[in-house]
Amino acid sequence: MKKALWFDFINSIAGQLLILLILATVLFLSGIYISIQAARDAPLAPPVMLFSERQIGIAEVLSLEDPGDYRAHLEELKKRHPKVTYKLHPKGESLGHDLVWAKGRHIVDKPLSAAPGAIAPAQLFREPRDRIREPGEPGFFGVSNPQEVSLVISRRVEKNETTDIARVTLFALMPSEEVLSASIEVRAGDPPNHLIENTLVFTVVCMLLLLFWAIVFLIRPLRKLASVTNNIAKEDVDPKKVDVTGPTELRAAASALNKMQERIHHLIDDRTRMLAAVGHDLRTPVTRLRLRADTVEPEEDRAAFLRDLNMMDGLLSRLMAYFSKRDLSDEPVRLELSSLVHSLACEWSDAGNPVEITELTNVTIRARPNDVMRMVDNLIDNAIKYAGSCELSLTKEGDFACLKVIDHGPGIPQEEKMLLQQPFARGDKARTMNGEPGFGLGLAIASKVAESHDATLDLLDTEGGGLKIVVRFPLSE
Amino acid sequence: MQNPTHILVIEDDTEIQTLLASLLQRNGWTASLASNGHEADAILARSCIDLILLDVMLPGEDGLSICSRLRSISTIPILILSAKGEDIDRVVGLELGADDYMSKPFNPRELEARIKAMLRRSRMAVKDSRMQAPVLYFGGKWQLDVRKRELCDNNGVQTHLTPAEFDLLRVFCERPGLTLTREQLIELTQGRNSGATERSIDILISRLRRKLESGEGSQKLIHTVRSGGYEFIAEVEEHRESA
Repeated sequence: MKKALWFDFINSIAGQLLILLILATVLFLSGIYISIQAARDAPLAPPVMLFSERQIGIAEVLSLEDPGDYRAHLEELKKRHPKVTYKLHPKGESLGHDLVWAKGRHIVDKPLSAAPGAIAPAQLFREPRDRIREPGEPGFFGVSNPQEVSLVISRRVEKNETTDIARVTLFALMPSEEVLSASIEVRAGDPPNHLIENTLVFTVVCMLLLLFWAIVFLIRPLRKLASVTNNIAKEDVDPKKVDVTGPTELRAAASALNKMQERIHHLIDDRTRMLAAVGHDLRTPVTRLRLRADTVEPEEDRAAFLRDLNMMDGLLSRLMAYFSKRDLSDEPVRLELSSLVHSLACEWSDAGNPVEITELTNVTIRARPNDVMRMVDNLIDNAIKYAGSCELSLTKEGDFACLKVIDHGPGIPQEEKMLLQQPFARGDKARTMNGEPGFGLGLAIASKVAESHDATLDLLDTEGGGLKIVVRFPLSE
Repeated sequence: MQNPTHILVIEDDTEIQTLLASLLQRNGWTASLASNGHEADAILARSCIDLILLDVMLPGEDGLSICSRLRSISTIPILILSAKGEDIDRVVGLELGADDYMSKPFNPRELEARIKAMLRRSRMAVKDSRMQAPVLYFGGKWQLDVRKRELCDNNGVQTHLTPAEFDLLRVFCERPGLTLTREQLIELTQGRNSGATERSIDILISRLRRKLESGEGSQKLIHTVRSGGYEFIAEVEEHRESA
């Protein structure tokens, strides 16, 4: 039961939307998480990178100049970039043991592991100067393409743990084996700590809004539609209009359903009215005939008259009983079922039919007495008609009142049992019977009554041949 | 014999009117015919009517409204004849004050019997006001609704009675503590010459006992008086005491 509920939810549109939203949210959040993690790991990367690029460029351009002019150019640079500290270290000056040198722009950013004295300028890889500037070529500040030069460079980043400020120094080994250093203080961006929580909250709110929207605009109209459709399936219920709301497709379905409902209701109304009219108009001549029949002279003729009239009357009342619309004000009452069964058995046996009560227990059910009476009467009538006799028993079985109508007649073949509960269906035997009234409505009426009383009606076989009809009513209290 | 009984037939179908009239005349009753409410009012104004046979489907004012209108001004017994035959009509008709109800097509003999029973009751009603009580309480737990012809216990559980059983119980309830012979019972329930036998009364009594005395907490209500008949030994009240 629990599993089924769970499955139902997953299978519903709401459930699937929810799953979709959860998946989307997980993907979204993991993307955000990855980028935030990256930003947290290297908050200094972007400013350091930018600075390095610039200073490498400057060093490369400077390296094309005559080593004798370095200092003069440096003065110029210092003027232009007052925040940057430029220094030219003479050949052989100790720059610290932590520097790892690399060629060109492939800066290795884990310099702190180098052992002291591991780097000597003499061992440095040195790019040969393959090109001498032609006289008249643009000088240091005019060179547009320094890419032809590849210097050996290194970088040191000194982080201050208490503040966000770090000092970045870039070293470039010039052709003169002097080292040019440029250093600047950069500030790391704020680590994006609070952002992830905000994003999470934002996403969840978005998800809830989406779900709410889905429920209001998609699922609710769908549910309404389903419940109204269900309502149509029930019998004797006044039509309920569906609100034409929601998405376009649903609107179309709802208005189509309304039209269909109206049509069905019209048909049923027409049927009810027609039957009432037929019933009334036929009863008037039958009444006249019934009154006249009493004065018909030869006794046999009168008996034949009366037989036909009774048959017509029986047919009419069954037709009305099956097709008439149930009056909703006809509320069920608590009924002592045994009294009703007893009354009917007495009436049938008084009329000279062998109806026998084998067991009669007092049971109280909730029922509409007239309907139940019609049902039991039909069942007895069938048994008498097809088997000639009938046994009744009423017992209490657990929470059910169990009424059995047993006959020892020909019985009903298994394959016909379902069919016979439909209106106007008759067993093969019945069709060939002459003079017995019936539209084949007896069992159909009984099934209908049973259904409206939440009772079950089963057609079983009597041991040794015959039909056994078992009706189980739920007990009242 | 007193003046002939005068019965008013309100019925729009002229053939049924005449057929009913001849049926009534065969029984020695006088019949007046009306085909709608107006004609009925005119006849009621100028003659003394003992009983009314009333059709439900009438042109103009329908039978049920005529019934409730007449009931508000007189106590003439009314028997409704309806072609509708629906149970709900029966209940509505009886609640509106009709005394009995038959659906078309009816058995003429049954109609005669019911008319006789109603006339008898209305004559006796003058002497015994108890019959006017719509609900009778008896035996501690039973209540008999005379109008709706229903028997319930104090939990509201309805017990089904056949018409014959109901008539017999009603006769008993109206005469508690009296010993009634079988002949008296036949006469009170079905009228003389009805063809009922003393044996059929015994069967009826045993069926009634099965229904009244079988449930739990039930007490004996009908006492067999040796070589006499039957006596209803329960207390009958018109109103339940608030105890």
